[in-house]
Amino acid sequence: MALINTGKQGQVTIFIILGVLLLIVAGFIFYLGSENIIGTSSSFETLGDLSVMGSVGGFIGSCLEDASYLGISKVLANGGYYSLDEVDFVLENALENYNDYDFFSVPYYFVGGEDFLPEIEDITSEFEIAIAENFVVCIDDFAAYAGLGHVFESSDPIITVTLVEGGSFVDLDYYLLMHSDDSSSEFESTEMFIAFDFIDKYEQIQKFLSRQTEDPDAFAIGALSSVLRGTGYYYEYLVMGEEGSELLVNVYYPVRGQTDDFVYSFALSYDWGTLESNLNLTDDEDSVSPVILYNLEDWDVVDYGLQYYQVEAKGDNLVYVVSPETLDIDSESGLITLDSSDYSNAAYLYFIRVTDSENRSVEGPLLININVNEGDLAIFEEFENSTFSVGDTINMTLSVSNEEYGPYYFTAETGLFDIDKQSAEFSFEVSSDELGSHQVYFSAENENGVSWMLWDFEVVAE
Amino acid sequence: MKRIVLLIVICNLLIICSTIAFACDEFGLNCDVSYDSGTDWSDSESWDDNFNSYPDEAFSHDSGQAWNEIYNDNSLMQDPVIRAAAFADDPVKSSAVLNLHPEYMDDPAVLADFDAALISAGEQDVLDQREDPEKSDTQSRMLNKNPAAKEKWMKDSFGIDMSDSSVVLRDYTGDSITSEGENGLSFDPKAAASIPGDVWVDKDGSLRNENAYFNGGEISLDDNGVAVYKGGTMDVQQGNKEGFIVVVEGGKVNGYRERVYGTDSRPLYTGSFTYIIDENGNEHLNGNINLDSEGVTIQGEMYSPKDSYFSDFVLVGETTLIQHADNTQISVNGKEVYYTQTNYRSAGKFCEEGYSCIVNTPGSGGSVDYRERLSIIGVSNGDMIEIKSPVFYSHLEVIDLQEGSVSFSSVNAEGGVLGKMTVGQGDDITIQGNDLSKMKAGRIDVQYEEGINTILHHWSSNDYQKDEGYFSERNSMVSCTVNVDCEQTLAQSFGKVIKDGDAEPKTTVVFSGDNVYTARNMESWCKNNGGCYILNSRDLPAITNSENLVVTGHHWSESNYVWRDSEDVNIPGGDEHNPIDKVYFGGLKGSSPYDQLPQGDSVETVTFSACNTVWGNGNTGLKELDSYYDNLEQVQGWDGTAPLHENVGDLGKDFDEVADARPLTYSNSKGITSTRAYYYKEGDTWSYTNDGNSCQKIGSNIVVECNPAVADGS
Repeated sequence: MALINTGKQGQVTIFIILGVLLLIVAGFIFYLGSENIIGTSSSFETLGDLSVMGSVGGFIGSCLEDASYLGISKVLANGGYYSLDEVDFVLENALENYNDYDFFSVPYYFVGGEDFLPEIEDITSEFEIAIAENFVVCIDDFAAYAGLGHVFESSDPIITVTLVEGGSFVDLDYYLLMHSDDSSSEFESTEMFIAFDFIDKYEQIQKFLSRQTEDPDAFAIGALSSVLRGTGYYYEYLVMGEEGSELLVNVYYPVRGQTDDFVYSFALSYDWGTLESNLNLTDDEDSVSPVILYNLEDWDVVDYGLQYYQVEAKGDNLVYVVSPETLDIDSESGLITLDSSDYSNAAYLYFIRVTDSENRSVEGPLLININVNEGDLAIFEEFENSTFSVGDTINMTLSVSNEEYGPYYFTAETGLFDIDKQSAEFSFEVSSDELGSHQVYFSAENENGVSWMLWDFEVVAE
Repeated sequence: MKRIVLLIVICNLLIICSTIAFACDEFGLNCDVSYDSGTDWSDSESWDDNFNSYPDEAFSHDSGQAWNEIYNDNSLMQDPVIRAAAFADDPVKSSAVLNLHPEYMDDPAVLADFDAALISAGEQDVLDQREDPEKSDTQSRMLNKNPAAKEKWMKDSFGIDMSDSSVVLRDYTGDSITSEGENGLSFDPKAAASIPGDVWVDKDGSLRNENAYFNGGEISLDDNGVAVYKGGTMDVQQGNKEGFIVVVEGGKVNGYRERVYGTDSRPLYTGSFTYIIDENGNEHLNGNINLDSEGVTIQGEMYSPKDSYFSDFVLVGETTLIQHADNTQISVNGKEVYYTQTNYRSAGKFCEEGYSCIVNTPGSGGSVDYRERLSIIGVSNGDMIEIKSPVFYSHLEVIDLQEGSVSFSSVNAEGGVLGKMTVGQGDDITIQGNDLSKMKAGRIDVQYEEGINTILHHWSSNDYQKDEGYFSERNSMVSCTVNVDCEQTLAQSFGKVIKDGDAEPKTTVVFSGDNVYTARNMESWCKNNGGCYILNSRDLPAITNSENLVVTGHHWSESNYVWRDSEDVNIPGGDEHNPIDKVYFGGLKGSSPYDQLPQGDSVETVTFSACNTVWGNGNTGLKELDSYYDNLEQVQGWDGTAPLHENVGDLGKDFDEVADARPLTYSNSKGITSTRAYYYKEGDTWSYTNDGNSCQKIGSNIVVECNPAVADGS
């Protein structure tokens, strides 16, 4: 018996309201929509408190909907199985915490040159098991209704999934007797339609595997992309295993109205061990333990002299290289040394590449903003306003706090306005053309050199 | 004929011997080694008769008198016995007599005697000069002091002419002779004679015929009777004749092609190979061939059509091409595979229908790590093409594969394979042991016909470009039907789709520069203005259904393409630009189908966020855009430098809107001001304006008031 989930109390109130509406329309509701939108119909005979009974009906329908989505989702993610215990060929723990599941193992659909796609009837049965179990979890022995004075007696739910062209019917056979001191009601069955055409998708995978077995030595990526052509579905594959001979394939089916796609996952295995000498796979980077280059934060250099920046990365025997090579980096430690007196004030973009002992590498950009100012260059004052509306007229002046080092020669890198080179005044009218974010690069030059500032602002609708 | 000449030579030698050491009968037979004629050589009146009867004794008794007899009557040299005695006594004088009467060598016996005397003298010279290097060279004097005899001998013996009497020959052995001079060489006269066409020795020492000049080195004859040329330089000549064949070993060949410039129409081949010119003037080479100026070595067989560039050739049979700079290996096994590395966008024009073709275009960047295009087109005849390369290719394409296969492997510097892809017919595309990111390519396209449809399989990376974060990099190859759903599919898979309702987006934003500021800034505009496809230029489809194109990137004045810098370029740090991922404003025969803006009848406006894209003189690629887009009405861009951070705003403004809008100007860091400007089309004429009021007709300096009806479309 599941514990009462107090979090569902709020839902109960909603279901009471919905339940009334449900009954008013004679217990028949049909949700229409695309791909995954679910329609239901149910049989419910009731006497007594209509609101609670209607609520329970809505609750059951909602649970069936949730369970159907979760069940199908989970079976697809498990390659057509709710449980992989009885499956002969399984790629175990393919990825930890992948797809929000604590474990992630998938069956091989192709191994040893043979096709191991389960029969569609078997997958349908797995859908039924998964939906039923998720339904039970969702119902939670009507714990959400605890305290309302009703007694619930129910049978085990029996789910029947019928795949048809264009979608799937999910039938729930579930005897429920709900009674209180002054009322009772019975529920027997409900049915819903999920516009998720699994037959279509199954046949696509079947077709791909048929092509795959014709050429068992290599991943038939062209065949897979062909079977998905024009469907709006897409796939990705991950190379796994020491020889890269295990592939995890995920096919994504976008589901309108849902955050997550249905993901149909399965594994493919190839005999590529013999290829190693031919291919000399020296960069067999896998997805489990790649070289990691941690986010390279922009480096703001504001002081004269030697400056240091530590590139953070993870991996074995890493070698750090910077491009262009005008920047000095310790190839073993990743420590960058820069003498700001060698640079004029500007933004410089470099690329850092980190390579491990197996020649796996990662590269990332490092932006160095050099703006050294000992007080004898323009010190910009920040603008107060950074949001403008369409229709605004902007009249602004770029100010510096150390006017005594002037005169300055001002520039602004933008197409929005021209800046007066002496007074630093600029103006423009904000039109709808400018909706969105903007960044302006200001610079000021005096006899001692150049300093600069970036101004970020946003234009919003009136 | 050669046997007859040899027999005559032997007979004459026997006669010579008989007259020197012993007396023989008139046929040179039945010799008596103890024979002495007992002639009284003191009787001057009978000297002549005695000389004629016993010339050998005459020379030994009084050589001067004997030679006087011959000088007085040169025809005596036609007598084999006298001639033998003369050559035995003094081959140089004998040669001098023949030089006066080269016609004597019309008699094969005389010719053979002269030849034998030359060989004999040469052998003696060798012996003599071992003892005394200063000793004069008899053979050389026989030849070079007697040019008429020399010329007659070479011509009649071997069919070889002399261009000039000053030609110096030496060291004749019977199988070899050496010409002196700047381009002198050693050659087997018989080998030289085997080279088709008239052959002569030039005064610079070179051996020449109408097909080629042989400068320096050595020519011999192989077992198949083909001339083998070692160590020198062969200059193939214009107007060469059919059937020219030479085996080259370690030498150089300056071949002849009609479209090779800058090297006197002579592409340079080095190495060891057979060189043939066929009946059409095409060059065929088979062996180990270096094309140094092209930076490649070809192991196997190739030929070069007469009218092709030096960077165009055909790989035949089982042949491997190796690029020196990066060790890229292209192996073909099949019939004939056309190959071009001509650095033109239209290089594919070299391809021939019915034959496999490889287009390997370096591009303008000058980096050995990067090449613009590797396109394998129309693979036919069961050809198998295998490529291993460490190079990053902006475009990697397999187009219209008919029959055969292509495998491409990206390799690291040590040659280890990082990723391998194999392409067969249709969607027979396979991967072995890698994810797609291991393929060093900006985009991979496999395109083929399927019924009435053209199918594209596509993948792209974000590598080698500066921005790697804005677009997704998906480890999958997507497939779409060209002309149907490629724009949508590629945007969904690799770009962004910004929807405004359910309708198909009306605008396609093409990111082809260094940063995504403009594309990102447009996202909010797209949501309220009909939606957008935002695409990296590496994911451009061939066709668009959009009405508006927004194109970002670098653009040089008077060019018809935009581009981005490669990731390693740091302009503030003093680097030069390295333009990659060029996107042209129109198609071109022989170019990649995916190096250009997508074509579409629906396109009405093209908006650039790029420098120098709208000028008053129209030299900005407008002509290409106009011919590419039938319904194009407006182009907007920058007259001068474009700002880095730009929000393009509303597209397709009419004149009034432009006039009412704030003029957009921009001053770059050098203080140079540029303006946003527009082209508008009126009938077949384009006008330029930057204020919506004054319009200048392209191609003239006439400035008129802008006609609002034009931009209104009314």
